[in-house]
Amino acid sequence: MAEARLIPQHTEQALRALRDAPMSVPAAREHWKYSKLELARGAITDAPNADAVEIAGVPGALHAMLADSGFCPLTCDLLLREPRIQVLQLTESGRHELKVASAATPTVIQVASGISAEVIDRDQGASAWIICIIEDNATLNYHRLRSTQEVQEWSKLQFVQHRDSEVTLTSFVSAAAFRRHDVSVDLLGANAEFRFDGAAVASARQHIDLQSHVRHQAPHTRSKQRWHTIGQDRATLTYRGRIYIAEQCNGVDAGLTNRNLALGAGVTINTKPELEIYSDDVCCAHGATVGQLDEETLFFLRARGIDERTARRMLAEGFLRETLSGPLADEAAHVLTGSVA
Amino acid sequence: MSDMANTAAHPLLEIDDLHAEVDGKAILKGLSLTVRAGSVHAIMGPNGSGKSTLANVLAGKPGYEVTGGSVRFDGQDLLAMEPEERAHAGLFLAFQYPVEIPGVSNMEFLKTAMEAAAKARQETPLTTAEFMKKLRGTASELDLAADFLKRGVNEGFSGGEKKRNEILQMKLLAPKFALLDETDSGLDIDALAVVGNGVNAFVDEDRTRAVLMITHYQRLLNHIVPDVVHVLADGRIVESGDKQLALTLEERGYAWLKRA
Ligand SMILES: Nc1ncnc2c1ncn2[C@@H]1O[C@H](COP(=O)(O)OP(=O)(O)OP(=O)(O)O)[C@@H](O)[C@H]1O
Ligand SMILES: [Mg+2]
Repeated sequence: MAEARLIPQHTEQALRALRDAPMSVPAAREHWKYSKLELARGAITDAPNADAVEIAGVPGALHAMLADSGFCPLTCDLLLREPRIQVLQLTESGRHELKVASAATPTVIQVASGISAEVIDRDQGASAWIICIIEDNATLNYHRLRSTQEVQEWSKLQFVQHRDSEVTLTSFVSAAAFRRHDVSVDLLGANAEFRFDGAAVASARQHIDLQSHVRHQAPHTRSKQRWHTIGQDRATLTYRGRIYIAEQCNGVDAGLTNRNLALGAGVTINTKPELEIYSDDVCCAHGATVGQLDEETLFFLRARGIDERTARRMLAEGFLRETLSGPLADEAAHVLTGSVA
Repeated sequence: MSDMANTAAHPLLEIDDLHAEVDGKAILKGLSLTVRAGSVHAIMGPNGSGKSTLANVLAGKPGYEVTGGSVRFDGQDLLAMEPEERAHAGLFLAFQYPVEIPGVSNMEFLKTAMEAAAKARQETPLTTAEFMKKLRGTASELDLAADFLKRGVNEGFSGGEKKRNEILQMKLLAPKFALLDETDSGLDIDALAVVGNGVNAFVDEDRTRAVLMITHYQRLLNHIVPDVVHVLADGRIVESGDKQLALTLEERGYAWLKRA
C-alpha cells in the first residue's frame, strides 16, 4: 500500500518552489497569459494542512531518480534543500485515493516498475502540486474530478514517464471563480504512452485555464489528448497545448484535439495548440475548434418531437460525454451536465 | 385501395400553391398536393428540383422561408407550428442525410423521443423495461443488432444502417404521416425488402396513416406499390399518375415532361 511521508519546512519556500519551477506562476512575461496573476496568487497561498504527517529526509533514491530523469533540476534541488514533500510509493497494483494538503506540499507519486496503479484525485479543496514518476513498464491511470465551484485553484500535475510506461489521465472539471490546471508530461523512455481525456464546463463569470505541455524525448513515444469545454454566460475558457518533439525521436505519434462550445454571446474562448518538432519521422496531428451547437442536429432532434431546450441540453451533454471514460465518468457526467443550463 | 375510397378518405396533408425560398432563392414555385389517409404517394424528379426542400419545409426546418400558399396537416395549419409540434401532430420525416450525434446514444435518443411523443399524446410513457422490449423487438425486425442501440446516434453507421435507423424511429414513434426522403438510397437488396415491408405494414396496420416517399428509383416501387406517383420539376408538380408513370420515367427520363 501507499506510504505517505511528509517533510516539514517553510511554506514560503515551498511556495517559491511552486513559483519557480518550469511550469509555475510566471512573474509577468507569460507567453500565453489569460489567467490573471492576482487571482492566481490567491489560489496558491493556501495554508498547509496542520494534520500533515511529518518525517525527515528525502529518500536518496528519489533524489537520484529525479536527477537521473533530468526532471526539473530546480525542483529537484529545492526538494533537497527545502524538503517538504509528500511521497507516495506505489509498489503494488491497486487503487489509491489521493489526499493533498496544499500546493505548498508537493506530492510525489512514484509508480514502481511493472505495476498498474490507479489514482483517484477528487476535489482537494486546495491547489495541488503533484508529480508522478512512472517507472519502466508501469501503468498509471490517474482520474481527476473537480466539482466544487467556491474555490480558487492553481494545480500542477506532472508526469515523468520511463520506458514502456503508460499513463491515462482523465480530468473532468467544473470551473470556478479561478481555476488553472497545468499538466506537464515528459516522455523520457522509448515506447512510453500518454493519453488524456478531459472536459470542463464554465458558467457565470467563471474562469478555467488548462495548459498542457507534452515533451517527447524518446523514440516511439505516443501522446493523445482530447479536451472538450463548454462556456456559458460570461465565462472565460483558455487552453494552450504544447507538443514538443526532441531530436532523434523517430516514430513519435502525437495528437491533440481541443473543441469548445460557446453557448452564449458573452463567452470568451482562447485556444492555442503549439508544436515544436525537431525529428522528421513523426506523426503529429492537432486541431482546435470553437463553435455553437450544430443547427442541423438540433433540427433533427426537434423533428423527432424533442423540445428545443431538451435538444440543446442533449447535444451539450453528448459533446461532453464524448470524452467521459474511466471510473469517475458517471460522477463527472452528473457534475458537468448538471451545470449546463 | 380503390380510387373511389381514396378520394373519400380524410385528407391528411393538403398543400396548396406552396412557394418557398432558401437564401433568397425561390425553390418551390406553386406546389400543390393532397395525400389522403390510407394512401401511399411517391415523388420523383430530377436532382435539385426541390424534393428535399419540400420535405424540410413540411418538417419546419429553420432557414426555409415560405413566401406563399398553405399547408394543412390533419386539419391544422402546419406552417404555424414549431418542428417539435409538427412531430407531435404526427408528422415524421425520414432524412435524406441523417445526422450523426456522437456522445448521445441511440437508445437514450429514442427513449427521449418516445417520451416526448407519449407526453404529446397525453399517454403514460413506457417503463424502461417496456421500452427496452419494444426497442429490441423493433430493431431485430429491421436487422439492426443491439450494438447499434448503444452507439452514438448514427455514429459511424454505414449509409444503409442510417436509413434503417430512420425506419426504426418511424416504427417506434408511430406517426400518422411518414415523409421518406430517399430512404431507399444506399440500401442493399435485402434491406430494401425489409424497409419496403416496414413501410407497407405502417399503412396496412392503420388506414388512418399515409406515406409520401421521395425516390429516384423505380425498384423501391417493386416493394411499395404507390397509389399515386408525382413528378416534381422546378418547384412544381408537373405530372401525376399511377405506378405506371414510374415505369415510363425509368424508360424515358424526365426530359419529355419538361415544360417550355
Ligand atoms: N441553403 C441553400 N442555399 C441556396 N440554394 C439551396 C440551399 N439549399 C438548397 N438549395 C438549392 O435548392 C435546390 C433544390 O434542392 P433540393 O435539395 O430540394 O433538391 P432535391 O430535389 O432534393 O435533389 P436531390 O434529388 O439531389 O436530392 C437545389 O438547386 C439546391 O442547390
Ligand atoms: Mg433531396
